[in-house]
Formats: sequence, C-alpha cells, structure tokens
Amino acid sequence: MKHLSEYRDAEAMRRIADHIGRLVTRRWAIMEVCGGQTHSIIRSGLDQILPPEVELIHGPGCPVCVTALETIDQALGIAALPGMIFCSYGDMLRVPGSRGDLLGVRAAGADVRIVASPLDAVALARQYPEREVVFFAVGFETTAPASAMAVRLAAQSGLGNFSMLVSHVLVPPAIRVVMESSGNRVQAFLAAGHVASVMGTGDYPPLCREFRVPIVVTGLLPLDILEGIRRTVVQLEEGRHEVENAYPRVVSEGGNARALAVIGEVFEVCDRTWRGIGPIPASGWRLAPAYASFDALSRFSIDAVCSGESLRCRSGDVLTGAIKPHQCPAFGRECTPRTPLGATMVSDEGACAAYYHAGRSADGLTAGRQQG
Amino acid sequence: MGKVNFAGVIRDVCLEYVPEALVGDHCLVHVGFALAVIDEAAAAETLRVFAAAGLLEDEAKQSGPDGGESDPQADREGVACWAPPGRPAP
Repeated sequence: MKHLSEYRDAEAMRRIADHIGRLVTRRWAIMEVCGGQTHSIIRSGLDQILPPEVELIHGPGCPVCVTALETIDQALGIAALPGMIFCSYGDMLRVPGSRGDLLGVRAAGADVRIVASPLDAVALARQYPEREVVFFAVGFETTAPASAMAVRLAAQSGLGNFSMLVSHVLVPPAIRVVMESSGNRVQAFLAAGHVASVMGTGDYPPLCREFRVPIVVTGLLPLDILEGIRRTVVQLEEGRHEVENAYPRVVSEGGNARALAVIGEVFEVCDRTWRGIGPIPASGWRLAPAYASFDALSRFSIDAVCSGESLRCRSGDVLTGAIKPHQCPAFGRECTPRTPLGATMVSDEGACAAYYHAGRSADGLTAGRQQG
Repeated sequence: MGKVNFAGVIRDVCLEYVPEALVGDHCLVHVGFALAVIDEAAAAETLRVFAAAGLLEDEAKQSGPDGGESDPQADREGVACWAPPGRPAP
C-alpha cells in the first residue's frame, strides 16, 4: 500500500491518542481480538500512549495459542511416524504438548518442515510420491482459504499421499464466550480486520445487539488500531453498540465470496476445544464429508495421549483478559519464549511473548528488550 | 499464481481469490494467498479525515521502509507485479 508509512507515523499516533483522551469521560475496557493486533499494540507501545481511561484487554485471537493440547499431541504422534513429512507454520514447532514439542520430535530424527503456505506442503507431496505428507492446518478464518484451496488442489490432482491435521477456529464464537464469562469486563471489541476480509462483517450485528457491545472492524497497523479505538470510544460515549468498518481499504461487508465458496465446499463447522479456554460449540472448521479422506486423523491411528497442562501456566486467564501476561507469577521467570510453559509465550501473536519481547515487567515499566 | 513484491522481495502468490487484481495493485497476502486488493482510495480517505482534523502532518513523514516484517506467517501488504496471461493490463 502506498500509505504504509503514514499508518505507522509515531507523531500521528500520539496526536490521535491525545484526541481520544479528549473524547473519554470515564473508564472503558476494549478487547482487541486478533493476536496480530496485540503484537502491533505492544511492539509500537500504543497501549502506553493511550489515555489512562482506555484499557486494552488482549483477546484469544492467536491460533498458535488456542490450538488444543490434544491436537498438539496428535501432531507430535503423526510427525514421529516412519517415512512421514510433517509440515507446519514455524510458530507451531515450539508449542509445548504433553510430552515435548515438534522441535524435539525433529531433533529425534523426524522430518518436520516449516512451510510458509499449505501449497508448499502440496508441492512436497508431489515431489515425494512415495512418502506421506501431512500439513498442520491451524488458524482463524484468515488462514482457512489457503488450507481449503490446498485440500481441493490435492483432491483435483489425485494426491493420495497428502492429508491435513485440521484445527481451524472461528472468531465470533470466541467473542460470545468472552461476553458470557463470569467477571467479564470487556465493553467493546476491535474485530480482526483480516478475518473480516474473508468473512465480511455479517456475523457481528447479532452479537452487537445481544450483548449491547460496539464491534469495530479494525486493521493491524498502529494507526488502524488507533482509529478503531477512536471509533469504539465514540460509540461507547454515545451509548451506541453497532458494527463499524474502520478498515474499508481491505474489508467489504460481504467478505471474499470466492474464498467463502471454497471454504464452504471443503470445510464444515464443528465444536472445538480451545487451549486455555475449553470446549466452544460450533467454533471451528473440520473437513467436510466429501474431503474426509484427506483427514490425517482418520488416515493415521495415533495412540491416545494423556494430556496435562503445566499447573503454573495461567494462559487461560491471559486469553480471556482476566489478567495481563506480567501478572502471572511464572512470567519471565520459569516461563520465557525459550522455555514456554504455555502456548501464549510461544508465538509472536501470543500476548505473553509480545509482553516479554517488549520488556514489559510487573511494575508496568519498560525495562528494555530482554535477551531471550 | 502470480508474483507479488513485498518491499523488494518477490514471491509467488495464489491470486485465485482476487480475480480483480491487476498488475500494480496492492494486495493483502496471507500464507501465500492474496485475500483482498487494497482500496487505495479508502486508504487515502482515512488519512484525509485525520489530516482534516489536524491529526497528521501535511506531508507524512517517512518513518521507515514499508513492510519490515520477517515472519512468513505475518499478514503482508505487497504489490502484484506479475499476473498470469489473460488478466487485463492495468
């Protein structure tokens, strides 16, 4: 985009933050749902220039963080199978399962590869027809068009050695869980702009009405996020609760019709367990019956693993906004990006890792970037 | 497939979901797929509103090179620089 630098302009950020400060008359708690937004907020220090009345609560929108422990364990089991090529986004390699992580499986001799796109995994299946290739499909609605197209391509090409471990999750059911949780403090949402680029904005009006919350579709650059916050604060101050699109350069009301068509062909909605949160009804996508033969879980029998989380990890409280990452006693001590107790300390989009890399400490001061 | 320039790094990107994309368009790319063509008029309009409110400098400062992300999973905005034959020229 021609205007990328303007959307990162530090002086403009400060002026808009000051402008928001003149709009607020009381305290407001706003949740940014998307982990990419959390990363952008903490890296740019945007939360520290906002008026003190506006609190940002970091949401569960980090796919690496919410992929169920059981699914990680299944990935570890599949990756270790003889002759397997297991493909994953890089972030997933350090996510702790019950017994180690994918990096450990690779160190023990398994062929675990980092790919930038599911199409890379399809290409590997073509290149190595004598081996099984599994792609670990995690992600929100933004990532699903790529996963769906990869499966369809494999089906069209008759690739019998390609399959997928699918763990796709959906944003609107997570918003519902946050609003229905006891002790919820969230009064408004910044919805993830890139999710809406695929899905459009149609899921949000019913949530606005039911929970009486403003939902503002917001981009990921610092100025986008400030504009989303500004519009949210205006609604809150005026007592409105509507959907607004603050990211019109990318998001249309109907979303991407072609992507929705392919997703609808390849996937179907299912219940899914979110790490740190628990089971959420109708909160994920799995392969539709017509593509069930590409489901890695039905193709390979994996021994059931007795799953257990670290008792010291409070990532569930972080994901629902009950605590900030540095309020966890383990933060920065036994839990660091090198030795993560929970998934929120792994990904750049995880709130704990974002706080750690920005040098946030328990007293709220910036201590400078720590050496991880 | 097409080619997209991310601040100098050119990558193959699937353009199936953006049939309207023309060479020279800016697009949003996620895990190898373009998901949207960026509406430059809308981008400029938001900035115009900020400027009219006195919240931007008249001439935006260059705060750094566009697109500094290195994470292959990160969403990126890039310029379509090659599209398959059959697409209309810009």
